[in-house]
Amino acid sequence: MDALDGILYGLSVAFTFNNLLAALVGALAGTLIGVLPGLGPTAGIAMILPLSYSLDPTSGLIMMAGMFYGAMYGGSTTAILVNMPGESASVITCIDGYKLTKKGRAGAVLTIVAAGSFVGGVISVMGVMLFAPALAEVGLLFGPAEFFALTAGGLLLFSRISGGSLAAGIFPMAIGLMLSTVGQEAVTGQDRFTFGLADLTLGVELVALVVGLYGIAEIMSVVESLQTQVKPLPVKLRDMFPSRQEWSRSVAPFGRGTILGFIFGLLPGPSATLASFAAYRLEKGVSKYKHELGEGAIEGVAGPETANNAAATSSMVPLLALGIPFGPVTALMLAAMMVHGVQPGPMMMTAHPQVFWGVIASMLVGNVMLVILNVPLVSLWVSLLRVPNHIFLPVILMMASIGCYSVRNSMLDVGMLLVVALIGYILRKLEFQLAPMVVGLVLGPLIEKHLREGLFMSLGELSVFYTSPIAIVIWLLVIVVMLLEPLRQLAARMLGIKIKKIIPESSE
Amino acid sequence: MATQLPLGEMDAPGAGLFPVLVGAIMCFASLATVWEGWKTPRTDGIELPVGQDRTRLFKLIILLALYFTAMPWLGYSLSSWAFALLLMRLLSPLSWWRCGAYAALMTGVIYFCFIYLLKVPMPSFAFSF
Repeated sequence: MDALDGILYGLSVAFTFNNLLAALVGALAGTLIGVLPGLGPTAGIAMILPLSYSLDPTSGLIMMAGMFYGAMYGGSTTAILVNMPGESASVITCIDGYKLTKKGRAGAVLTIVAAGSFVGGVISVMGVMLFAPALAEVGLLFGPAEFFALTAGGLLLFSRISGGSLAAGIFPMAIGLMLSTVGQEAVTGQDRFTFGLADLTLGVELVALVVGLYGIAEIMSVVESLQTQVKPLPVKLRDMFPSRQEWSRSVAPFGRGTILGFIFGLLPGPSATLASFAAYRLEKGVSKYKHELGEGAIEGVAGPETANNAAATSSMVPLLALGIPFGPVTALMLAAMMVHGVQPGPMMMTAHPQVFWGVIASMLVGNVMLVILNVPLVSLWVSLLRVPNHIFLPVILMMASIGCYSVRNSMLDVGMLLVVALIGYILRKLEFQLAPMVVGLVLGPLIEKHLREGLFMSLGELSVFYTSPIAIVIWLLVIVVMLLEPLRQLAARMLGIKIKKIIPESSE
Repeated sequence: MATQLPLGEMDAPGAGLFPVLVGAIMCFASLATVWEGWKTPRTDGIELPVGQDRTRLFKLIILLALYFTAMPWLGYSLSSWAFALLLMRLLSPLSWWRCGAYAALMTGVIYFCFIYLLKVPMPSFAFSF
């Protein structure tokens, strides 16, 4: 099936009633999750993960994808209206978005964000349609050594690019890998680190880890600083129309943000967050109105918001084409696919074309739904921000316990929520990145599988992992990125050359 | 503990190989963390909650621990109602009666959506709710 046939087939799958409903529910739930503080896309998707098990794999994944890009849109609403990003990718939007709100342009900015998210999302979907099959064909050339390099090297890169210092990424990654070794070992069936607890035989539950780290730990932070809750001003429908100048100034940032976001989505790391920061920097460098950035310029919102939506969409490419998640949300999607018996990767396009093309085409449909629904519904989202903490926090916590228990009816998983939340809260205070722990837990079994397969097939010859050209290229790339920061420091110390930091301070 | 698992041979690795490797990565990560902690100036302290903020946070943690402990004994609905009631009292100046009513409403809606409609199996009390 070529790309055009695939797109048409995918649209026929996406336009079935169940899948349209899944995309609608996902987009709306995602926007809600993005809007509400204390619940990011990762925790939100983790909470509905068990519910998606009851749907067929295509509908379940369509709903999860809808939540991901819906949350990207919703997160910007709080950033613009109350200077509080709903998720990390909208942090940079606060700078100009909130200043424009203070100037009375909130409604117009929200419309520009919706339009930018739509443009970024739709063009990125087209890129995914063309790029994913090509990458899947390359993936067919991969053996255990290449996949080992991609999973292990990708995890290392992800941990390093996630932000902060070396230890801030590597330490949580190591915890994630350690947790991935708990449970029954896949080849010999031997129990590892289960301490005689039957519930641990299946390993550490991903939903408990993600909801604890991202949901409950975040709620702890909200409860801790309860006094600072800000109430937004109402936004009326007649204020939603941007001026002609605002539209014309947004066109170029839409284009730049889309290209940048699409590229970032293909790379390991917190792609949506990095893309929005990079888009802001790009606007600061090339925009005709760069002198206004930071003081309330529409370019400072249009570029980053387009980029983060484009990145959220294109981050599906490595997952669908190679079966490798480069972020916590795609890691959850991988877990959902595994439960349904769908193995993402190079063979997915031929083995499960309905899921592959259906999910991609649904993103097109979901983005259209998002723009149609969100602009008129902005007053509803704004009114949700006025719901007091003492109402929505108990609801979220009750739903978190349901989501966690329902995966495998285990009270151990529910109890683990609190333990993980405490660990997440402390690690966040110490400025560690949490995403590498989640990705480590998901990629750990894959790394072990490819390592063992490689050793089996090469009769114990270690050189198999670093002699194939593809593996060499991947490992060289990993080494270069790992050495970037030490080289930057060395250049600054020895030669007095000052280079801007390439790795962000934090992405969470 | 990882070393007690069978390591196998190079051409037939056992269940212990990967955990041993992960243990080595953990050692490296720990050393890197200690090294960075040692290098960081003492002025870069972490921001911990103080006063009422800290008390509220501790109370939330205790409430969550009690909620998760009580759930298998009291069932999902009763424990959730009590948890929501106490959490609302902690976070708001509302009276016990209003908190109780709101908690009942929240628990009822969640019970209806998830346990009744979506048939999510949750622990139940002696009266099956």
